[in-house]
Amino acid sequence: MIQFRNVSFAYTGVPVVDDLTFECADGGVVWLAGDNGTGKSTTVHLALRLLNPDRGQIEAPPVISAVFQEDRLCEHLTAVANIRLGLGHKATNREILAELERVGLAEIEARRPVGQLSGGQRRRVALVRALLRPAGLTCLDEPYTGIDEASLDQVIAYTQERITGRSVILVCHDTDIAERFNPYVVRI
Amino acid sequence: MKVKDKKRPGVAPTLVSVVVVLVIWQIAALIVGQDIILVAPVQVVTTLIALIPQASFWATVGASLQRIVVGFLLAFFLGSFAAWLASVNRWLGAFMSTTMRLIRSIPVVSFIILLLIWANSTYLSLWVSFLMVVPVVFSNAEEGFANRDIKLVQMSQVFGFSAGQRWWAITVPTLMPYLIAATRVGFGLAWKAGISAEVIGMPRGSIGERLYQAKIYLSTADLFAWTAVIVALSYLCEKLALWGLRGVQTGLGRYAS
Repeated sequence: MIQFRNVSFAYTGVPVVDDLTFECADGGVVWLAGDNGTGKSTTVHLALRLLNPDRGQIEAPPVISAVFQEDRLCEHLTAVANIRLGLGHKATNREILAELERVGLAEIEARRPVGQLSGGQRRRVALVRALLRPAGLTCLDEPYTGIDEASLDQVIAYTQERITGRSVILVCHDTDIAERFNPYVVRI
Repeated sequence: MKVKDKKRPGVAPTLVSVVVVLVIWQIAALIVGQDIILVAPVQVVTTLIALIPQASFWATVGASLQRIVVGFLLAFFLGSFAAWLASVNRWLGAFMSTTMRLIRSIPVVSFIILLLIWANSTYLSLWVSFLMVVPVVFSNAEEGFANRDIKLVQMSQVFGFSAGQRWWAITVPTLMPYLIAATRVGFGLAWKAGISAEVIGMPRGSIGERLYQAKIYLSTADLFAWTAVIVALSYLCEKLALWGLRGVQTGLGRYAS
């Protein structure tokens, strides 16, 4: 479970998150909705403990994972290696390759350094890395950016299956996609 | 489709350049007509061919090579370590930067004389090479540490990377281009400064001693032959070190996969 209680945060005196309160039970999805620059990504960073709130309290599970706004992959490593580093437990190449195949990434691509992959392929790697990690909280910041329309349904179905039992904070500008997760909406 | 690297001249243009330089040198030697002032390349090659089979040649090369390579390696590892220390603590960073700036601005000959006062000349070239290279490695590695991608570091915190995983997956790949640049500059410097130190300190059985003897006996052919040996050794050392570093870089690509 993730819980924000009266959380405020300011960058160099400029308030970005102001008195934010919400909670998300295990298995639930919170959709952070709002225009650009309203503090959605900052809220995600607070939930991931990358920032400390100026006021208020945040309770988050110890094991967390995320798809960031940017892919944040190690360019020189293969997709498999990137995922293995993020897992926190042992997994065979075969298991990781099977997961990547489920989001449409073939073995030949999965064994190349991610620096050589397209934007959409890299996004799939970032998504699988976040969803395979046995985390209590997963933050998904625009997780489907760059993924083509043809495979979007497949990737969303994979996400829905993998988030079972964990709390999810979703940032997504596409209302139709967000609503497919039946989320609790937090407008900020 | 293969894209040509425009920054690299390629083998053919390099070979043509070498031939042109040799031809100009040969013509100049013929015009001067005095071996003591300018020896012809053919004579240098003949001297080299005479030197190479001698056991003393290899012993001399081995002695100088050993000291200069050890000096470079010490500078490489200690310079990188100092840069890491500087990246984790700003007080240490200020101290290291000041020290390195000082070392960089002191003339090499001052170091040579000081080291000769403090100790004998046997390992002079080792310490002089070290002192010339360590600020170069430090400043490059310092820049590498400063340019670590903070977003990747944040990602590693979220995903709970161990210190070792963070080091090999994020820090070392960022650092590598800076260390390659330092090696390119550093090995040339190590050889130049190391041999200069040997010429002044004249440790027995060193290349510097042979250069000094060439001066005493006005043997320009020997001087050029030994200079060619130094250039070749410097080139080989640099290539070998770069090959090793690129091997590490490629190995990192396979890491954990």
